[in-house]
Amino acid sequence: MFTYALRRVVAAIPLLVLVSFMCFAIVASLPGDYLDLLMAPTMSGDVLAARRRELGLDRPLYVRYFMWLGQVFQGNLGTSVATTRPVIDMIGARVGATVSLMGIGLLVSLAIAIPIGVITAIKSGTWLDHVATFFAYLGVSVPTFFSGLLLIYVFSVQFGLLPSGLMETPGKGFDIVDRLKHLVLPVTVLGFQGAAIYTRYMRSSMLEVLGQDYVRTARAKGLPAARVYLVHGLRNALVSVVTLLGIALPSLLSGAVITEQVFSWPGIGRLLVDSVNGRDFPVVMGITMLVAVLVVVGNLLADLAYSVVDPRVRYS
Amino acid sequence: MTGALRRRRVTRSLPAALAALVVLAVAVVAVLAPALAPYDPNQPNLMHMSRPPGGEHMLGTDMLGRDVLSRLVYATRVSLLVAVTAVLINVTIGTLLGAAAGYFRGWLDNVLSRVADAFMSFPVLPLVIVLVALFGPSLLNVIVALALVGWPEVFRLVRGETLSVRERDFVQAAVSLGSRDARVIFKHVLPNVVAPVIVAATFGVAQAILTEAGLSFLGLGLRPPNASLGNMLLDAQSITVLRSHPWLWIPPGALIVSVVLSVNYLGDWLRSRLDPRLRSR
Repeated sequence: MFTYALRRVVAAIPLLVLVSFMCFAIVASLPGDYLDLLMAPTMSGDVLAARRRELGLDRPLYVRYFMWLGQVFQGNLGTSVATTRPVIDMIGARVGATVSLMGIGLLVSLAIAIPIGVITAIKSGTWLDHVATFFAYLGVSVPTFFSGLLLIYVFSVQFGLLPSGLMETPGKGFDIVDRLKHLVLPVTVLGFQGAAIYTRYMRSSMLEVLGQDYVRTARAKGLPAARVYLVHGLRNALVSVVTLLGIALPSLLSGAVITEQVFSWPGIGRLLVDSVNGRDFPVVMGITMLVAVLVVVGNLLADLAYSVVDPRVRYS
Repeated sequence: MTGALRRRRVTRSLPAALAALVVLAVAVVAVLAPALAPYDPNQPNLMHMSRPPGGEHMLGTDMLGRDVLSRLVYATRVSLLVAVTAVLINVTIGTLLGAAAGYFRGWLDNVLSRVADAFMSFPVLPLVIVLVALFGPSLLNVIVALALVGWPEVFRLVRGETLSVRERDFVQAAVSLGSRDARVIFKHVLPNVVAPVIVAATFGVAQAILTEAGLSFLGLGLRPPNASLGNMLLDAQSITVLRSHPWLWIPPGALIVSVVLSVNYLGDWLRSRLDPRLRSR
């Protein structure tokens, strides 16, 4: 187990190096540097050159990459051009909102997808299967901004039942009911899209398991259908859902960017869009690095979890 | 043909036929846009601002008095152009690199596979956003960004197929007869991977339409005054438009859904036709 885990961790390093170098190269290739922002225009060329040497800006690119990387490891992602606040603080203030939205959205989609995936696999080829297939395709074909706007139009504008955006009513302070009300619409949008994706995975995973010899044996032994489906079928089909959680992260993050925009949700996705529009590159790159690390770590955890539930993968 | 089998054929083919019809209609609209649009899509008309649908303007006009139907027609053209071009590029890159990696294996395969993994593990939308932010938003840059995020999937597919096809007898025979590598790849390997690539490309178009729409919705795609299906919904972020001008945002949204849904169904049908391994499902 340990050597397997070690091998996976080592394999993730080139990916991180690649992404981090990309981030650095982009920041470094921007016209002008850090000094141009801080220095008064009256400062003489000599002083500037001295300051530049002091900060290491005259060194070759690869040296500066390692200097930058050292800073990143110490949690220093640079300073925002727009707000002059440290990038890490700006991201830190937004992470919670995105994580709670994505986490609840993921739970909702799994709660929908697992039962429907199992049922449609058992009833494969029936009208029920076709209806579920239609909704699954619909779920991946509706852009989240359109479903979001439709929900706001119906539930906030027409009926006034739910708030149309933000995470809480401004100035109200923490109120759990208020928070939950704000969650309903964005979670519905993300949950529907996620459920559509995972239902298909769950269905094909279950279909595969149901075709296995041990399922036929269980049936031949005369076990009740419920036991065959739930104990022999579902338990084994769930194994591959674990890997699904690894690939869920990127698609969730993509969905969150637009969903946050539609619902004015104060998360990282909105920060990214605002920073891109404001050409605040240190923040853009900070978020890119964070997302890359999250995705790599997510994949790694999914791989390791998979090797725990299915020991065969460690030896292949 | 038994009744059950015929029923299955129909339940599979009927949605596919409908989907094909929608895709065909949309493609015709895209190609003939200048002939079909009743008005100039970018020409404001201060006398006809914010008109509801009906009368001279079938789908109404926007806040600047531009004809919504005409904008929709041109937006369809742009969105399809972007998606199809991007997919053509990424299919070409993915197929060539995938065939090379699968055929030659070794270090080339290792390097290309790592790069593809790096691209695939990153969330599509943030990646496209960052790319467009760097190059600046323009039609060409959106296409390039979409192609850059799309190729690894085709690459993986073609590489996998090539790895198995290259071991088959007819390929080995061609190699032992002294065919050059390029000839073996183009004449013997690639024809055998065409089917799954077509299926992947179809789903790729659906995905590209969605990503472009999302990008334009965030204001990072095609720049105004030009219309794309995504940026036509941009105005609906204001509550006034959302509440009282539904004809401005519901038609483009509904159009995106029906086009993407149809393309996905078409891909599903193609897959069931072209991939014998999935026939039984």
